[in-house]
Amino acid sequence: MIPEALTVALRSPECRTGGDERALLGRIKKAKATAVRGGDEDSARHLWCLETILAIQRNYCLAFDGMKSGAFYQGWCFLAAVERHLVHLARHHALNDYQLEFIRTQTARFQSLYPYRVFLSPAYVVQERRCGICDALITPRKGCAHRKGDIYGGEMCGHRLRIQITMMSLVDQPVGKERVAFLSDPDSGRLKDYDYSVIEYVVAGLASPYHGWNFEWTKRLCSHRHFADVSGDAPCPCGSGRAYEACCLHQAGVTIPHCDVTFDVVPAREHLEVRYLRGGARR
Amino acid sequence: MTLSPPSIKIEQHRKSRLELLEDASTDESLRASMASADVVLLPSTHEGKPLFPSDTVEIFRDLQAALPEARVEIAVRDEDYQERLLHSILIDLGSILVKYVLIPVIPNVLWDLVKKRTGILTDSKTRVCLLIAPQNDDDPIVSIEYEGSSEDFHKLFGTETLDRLKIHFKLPPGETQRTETAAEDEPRDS
Repeated sequence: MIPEALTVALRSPECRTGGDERALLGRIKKAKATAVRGGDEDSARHLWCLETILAIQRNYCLAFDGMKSGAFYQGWCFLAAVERHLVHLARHHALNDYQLEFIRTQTARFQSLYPYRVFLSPAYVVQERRCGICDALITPRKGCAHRKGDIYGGEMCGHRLRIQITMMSLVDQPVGKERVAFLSDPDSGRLKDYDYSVIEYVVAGLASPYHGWNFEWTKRLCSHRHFADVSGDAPCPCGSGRAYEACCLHQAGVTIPHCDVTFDVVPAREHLEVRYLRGGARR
Repeated sequence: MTLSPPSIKIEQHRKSRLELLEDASTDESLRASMASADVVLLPSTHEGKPLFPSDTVEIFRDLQAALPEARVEIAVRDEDYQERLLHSILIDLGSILVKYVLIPVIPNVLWDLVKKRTGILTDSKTRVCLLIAPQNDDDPIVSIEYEGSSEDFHKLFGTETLDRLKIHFKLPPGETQRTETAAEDEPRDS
């Protein structure tokens, strides 16, 4: 049996504080331990789902807080965690409750606005695979009855791997989205950060992570006065890769990518300062 | 992130089913078992060792469950089994050698395997190489290689594609008969 208070609390994540969340997690874990002790696999499985739903909601809020405070890479990592948990959960639970569909949609939108396009990713040879539940060696013809991704005793079965890394590569669709490639300045050795202007603009207009928003990329002709500090031999703000002088400087204006953002809850005007990207297309 | 347009390539392989199975293992009992199997999972080789795509054990079990009337085998001894785990998000079903008689059922079986692995990530990059052996084991096999999103897999890798296969058995070895792509589509954000 699942205490109804747990599901009710999970249905209103926007009203919870950090303390509420810790208390809720404690109650879920306690109920799960009781179910496991009593051999009630169905309840233990359901409680694993509730625990995962809480983790999704928590990581989503942490991602929002990270982006709001300017810790964009940290926000990105929390979004990656949200995505991972959603993938696991979807095998066992519909996403039509607990704000999960909303979180899924908004997570994908935030991710698509991030400027990260290149990731480091290792390739492995898996030399040995063992069951995370019973430690049995898994080979094609031997193994155990546990199936990867299923829930046993309130825990999801994963495999433990003995691996040998064979190479590192730069990829655009990594297994681990946290491994973002950052460039460093060859002289100072300091990391160069990306341009997060669009995300900054979106989160500035959101008072809550549970306020909806959407966006559409368009193009807009901008007056040269917005780029008065860009010199003629600097890269053109349109993102063509050519020098400003040889590209748009003598045209009517600079055609730059423009992100139209719509908010479900209209933000105060002072939160929405229009920004002009330097470096052109970010899509 | 951008996924390349999906592609499906159908060509006649240079080898027959028997030749492929002989290449796959030197173990006599395994060879005999593979020869009588209806479906065989084949490895790629890396530094002379057989390597299977990540999660092949699960694919092997899922195929056995999905095709209870068929014999499913994997071209490696348990003690030699190793997997390669690649850099990118990729659903790689590897190379699957099937007998011609399974053509009516294999597209749906493969689609179920893909769906199970895709979950909610419906545009995951997917790769599979299906090798279809004709009735005569000495005749060259036909390979169908798909690479693209899991969504497009269902559209391109359907029964209709496999129904058109009969003509490919008449091709000279190595000649590509048909390549279908959705190249006219712009690459999509994923």
